[in-house]
Amino acid sequence: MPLPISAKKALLEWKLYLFIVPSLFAVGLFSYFPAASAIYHSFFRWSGGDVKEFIGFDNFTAILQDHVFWNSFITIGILVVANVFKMIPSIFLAVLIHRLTSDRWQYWYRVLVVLPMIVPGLVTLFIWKFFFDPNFGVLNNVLDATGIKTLLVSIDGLFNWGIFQAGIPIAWLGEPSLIVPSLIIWGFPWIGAVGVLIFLAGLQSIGTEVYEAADLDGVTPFQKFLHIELPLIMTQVRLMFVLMIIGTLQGYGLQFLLLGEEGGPGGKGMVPGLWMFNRAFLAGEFGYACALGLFLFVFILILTMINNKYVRVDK
Amino acid sequence: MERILNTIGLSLLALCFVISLSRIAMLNFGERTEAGDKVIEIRMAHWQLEGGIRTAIDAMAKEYMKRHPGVRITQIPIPERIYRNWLITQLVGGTAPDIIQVGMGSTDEHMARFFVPLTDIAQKPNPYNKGNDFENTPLRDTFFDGMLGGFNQNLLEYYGVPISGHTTRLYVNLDLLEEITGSKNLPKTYEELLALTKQVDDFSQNGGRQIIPIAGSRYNSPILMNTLFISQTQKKMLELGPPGTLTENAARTTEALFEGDWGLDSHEVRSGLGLMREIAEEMQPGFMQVTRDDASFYFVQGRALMIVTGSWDATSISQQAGFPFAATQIPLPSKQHPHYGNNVVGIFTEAGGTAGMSLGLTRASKHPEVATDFLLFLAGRETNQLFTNTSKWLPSVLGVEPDPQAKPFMMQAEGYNPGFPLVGPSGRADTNRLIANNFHLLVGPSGSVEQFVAAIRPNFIPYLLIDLEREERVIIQGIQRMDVQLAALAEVARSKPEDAMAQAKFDMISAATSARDRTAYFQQHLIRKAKDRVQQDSK
Amino acid sequence: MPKLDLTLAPPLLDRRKGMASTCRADRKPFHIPTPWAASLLLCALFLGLGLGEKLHAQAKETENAPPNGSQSPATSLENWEMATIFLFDEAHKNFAKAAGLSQGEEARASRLGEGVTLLTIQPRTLGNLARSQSIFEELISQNPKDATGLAARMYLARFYELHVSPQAPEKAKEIYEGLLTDGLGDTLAELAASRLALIDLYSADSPESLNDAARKLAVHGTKLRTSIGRRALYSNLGLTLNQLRGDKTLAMEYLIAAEAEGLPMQQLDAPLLITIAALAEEMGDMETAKKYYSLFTSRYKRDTRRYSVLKKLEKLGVTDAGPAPTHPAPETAPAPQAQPQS
Repeated sequence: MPLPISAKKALLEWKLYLFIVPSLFAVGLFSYFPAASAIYHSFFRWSGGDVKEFIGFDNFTAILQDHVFWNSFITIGILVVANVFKMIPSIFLAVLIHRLTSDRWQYWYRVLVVLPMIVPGLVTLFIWKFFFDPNFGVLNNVLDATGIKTLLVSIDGLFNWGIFQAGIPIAWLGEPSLIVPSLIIWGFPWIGAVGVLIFLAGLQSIGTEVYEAADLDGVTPFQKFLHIELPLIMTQVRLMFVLMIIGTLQGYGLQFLLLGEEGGPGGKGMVPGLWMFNRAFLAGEFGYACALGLFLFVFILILTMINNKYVRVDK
Repeated sequence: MERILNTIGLSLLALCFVISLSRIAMLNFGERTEAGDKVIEIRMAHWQLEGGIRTAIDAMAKEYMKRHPGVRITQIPIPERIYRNWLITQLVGGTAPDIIQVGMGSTDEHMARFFVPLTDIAQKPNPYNKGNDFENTPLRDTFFDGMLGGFNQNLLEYYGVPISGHTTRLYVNLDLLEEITGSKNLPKTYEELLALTKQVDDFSQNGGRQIIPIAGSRYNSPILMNTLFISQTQKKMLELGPPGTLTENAARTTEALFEGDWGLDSHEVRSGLGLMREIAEEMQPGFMQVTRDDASFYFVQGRALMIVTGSWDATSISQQAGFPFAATQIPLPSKQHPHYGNNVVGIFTEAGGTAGMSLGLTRASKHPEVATDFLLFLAGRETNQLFTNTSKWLPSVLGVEPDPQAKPFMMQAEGYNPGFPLVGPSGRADTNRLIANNFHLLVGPSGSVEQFVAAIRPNFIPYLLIDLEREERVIIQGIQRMDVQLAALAEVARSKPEDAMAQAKFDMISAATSARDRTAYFQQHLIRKAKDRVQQDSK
Repeated sequence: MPKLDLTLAPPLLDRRKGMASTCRADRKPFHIPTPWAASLLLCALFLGLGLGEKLHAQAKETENAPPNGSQSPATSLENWEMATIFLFDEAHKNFAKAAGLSQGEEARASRLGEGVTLLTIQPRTLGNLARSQSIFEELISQNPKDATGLAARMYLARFYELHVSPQAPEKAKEIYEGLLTDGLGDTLAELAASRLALIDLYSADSPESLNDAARKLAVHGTKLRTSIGRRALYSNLGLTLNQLRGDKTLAMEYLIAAEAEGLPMQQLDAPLLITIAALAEEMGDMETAKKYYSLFTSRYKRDTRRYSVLKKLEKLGVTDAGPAPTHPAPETAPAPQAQPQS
């Protein structure tokens, strides 16, 4: 913890502050200026060019009546909950790697986990798009080959969903009821390199004496995870949780690439970020899109504040 | 040692900085030719990543650079998916290339603000036609469409030089066709097309090889389905009036909807939707989730017998397909069709088709004279011949002999105007979104026309009202700008009574402003009718 | 004040070893460490580059700017010419400057320009619109009948008609009626008749009132002295009556009168000819129908409607309606093509 110094002393050392000027300038220009511009334009009817008309709070009152925007929060809520569960495989893999006794093997597994990061996310998305192809995609072929498709057809018959039909390939991104499940399935087995590395870093700060004491007490491996490892990496879990929520709430690239600008059949894949994009680039309502963005920003800020206040980790 | 290492590090950093600085300076202040003159760089952006185009542009650029050694033409191809966003960012950011392909994502306001009107050069002969029979012909009359492809109806100026033409066709794999049917006869009517698809289904079931009759995607399928839909509203469009309506007029069609002359339950709309569903059943399941590239992939891989797409894909397909293919006009129901024939007037004319791939000149250009000269070069007959020979695309200049591969795509002049679509202009974002979000009910395996209509009915008129109000704002914004332009041209015409061009421009703008005023008033009239209808429906 | 425990602060003391003392008495000369110098140098270079770029761009702009002889404020004409190519912001600045510097008619003309350009500079605010309105009112109060005054009245009417929200067509109508008394012979002012036509026709609440309004408005046509004014009036009357299903005879009369004045663009002329012909056909006047369909086919060789119109002329007994569409004829394809449906 740095020692406090008086304001007079700080002023005497003014030259040191010049070191941060370039970074501040860059952050100001590339982060704060666009945000400020978005706030400014949210009070205008603006179609992206020069023509803009000041309309006060009209955009914000329109948001209150925008049922597409509010419905998109339902979708994003489901995805957030699903993403919480999708954090588990990363934690699990981090624990497995951490428990390897050989440092060399630990190293190689870390490399193997990190290597897929070289592949751009867009490429992964396109590969998954191909997986979801109804006629030639891997997913349907696997379901057919393993007989799971037949099982799904029987279950469908029982509940009368009308989604899984014999002889008709499953349209994962073409059937409204399957859109959200597809967005959840995407990325299987849900092992994110960044997550694994962060959890691993947390696990490696746990001293060996803790494990020795646990062994002496006859603790099972699962109990070790539950009572030792998980509590001690809760800081990292909390960090990943916050990043995940922010990323999920803001993100729309996945939905855009897989489903298009309309959010797919039935608009089931519409999320707040995609709706913002839709309003800006399809309807030409950039001012309204800025207002949506501002609303989303406030929403995420409130969630982050709640997380900071109530999701505490006892040291 | 540490000091030495620090010095080396700092020197490396300084060296990199100096190199990048000099590179930027060179770009900013220009390269020099051998003679010491500055090299002028003209950047040209477009979204045509299809096969043959980039090569054709390269070839034309090289030819131009040969004639003008002090100029360098740089091509910037941008993927279609992000073109709209890229364009707006470039225009607003002031970093736009000298020449940009217009037509996607460029609104009237963008055109007026960021592009240079080309009306002046359109009215003069093209110097690059010297020596041929167009030597003294105004540029606009050298195009097959009178350069309408580059004309902005609202701003009344030419903003682009179009260098190609496009049509849509049904592509057929001839080898596969022969294998399935025993002949290479292409379907001429919708009935024959449907019969062919049934033969393909039988072949797939009995032949052991899964063949898709028509490769569909969310890009390709609407081309076919919308063509079939508008064949059913062809007769109705002529009946709607008012007198003089020979072409589809979105405003009039919308008014007719509110007056009850047609609707979601009228027989031509139901027939159109029925046609769309019928043909959708012959595409691969889940086709609305796949993209254009996937559909093309099925076709070139021989997994699909047919695909509907534009002439813009012909070169790409011919480069990738290992089989001969033919292209024919999209077959429409014949008048003898027991169910659909009654609504049809006749085959669609392509006579009014406008030239495409329109290239505009941006105000951000640092060398507008050179960029304009390059545009004129591209519009010359000789260069357009080079274009069609290299790209295999249709030419836009009269007298240019299309490449043999492009000939099946030549515009069919004889025919009648098509009918009206269900929604109207693509700018009707909310209504189009309603259709897109419920389209699966029309084309899905367990869907039907009734389900689709029932799903869109509650919001069809309300969403249309939202779109009409948005359209009205855009029209009024346009008139607001035109008013200022009218005042300016009036003052210039008043001050320069001897200037024929000034008088002509004022003449044009006053006629155009009247036309826009009529549009605005009619739009407000439509909005009133829409509101009445919404109120009526809610009771 | 808490006592500083130096045993906790060795890192602080160590850091201070190579730095200037804070005590003024023994402060060493200003010492700039190398990394700091490098950062400053980099910042200075970036700023210098940016400034240099800006100056260079400004120099180019001056070089490319339209010639302005003596560097005095641009004249009204030059500013209006800027506005014709959509440089509204620039024109507005120049007008505002010129209005302050010039006198008499030139000042009034510049003031008009300032008011008109305010209607379109962005962002569009209530303040700008209010300023525009007050400028027009000021010019009108000075002299409502000279060219500038008439233009100001025209634009004040337009302001009420289309620029302000909510629109005030009644106020606009009052001004237009005044212009038709005072502004005959002035091209811009005579456009008031066509604007009035749209306001009145669209506020008619029955077919009878629609036709009555059209008849009353048509009277203005006999008084208008400019072709542009008459054409605009008759186009609006005829096309609007046709669109709103008013009296066909009246609509026909006005449409023919509009066509006689001559429309400058294919996009307006072609549909007008077809509308006249189709209306005549509906009314049973086949000779007029033939005349205007033939006019269309002779003027417009490339139009989507050409084939349909040729078919209509065939039905009307005219078989020599000119050459076929001059599109490149479809060639025989490598494989058989579909034939046109009959």
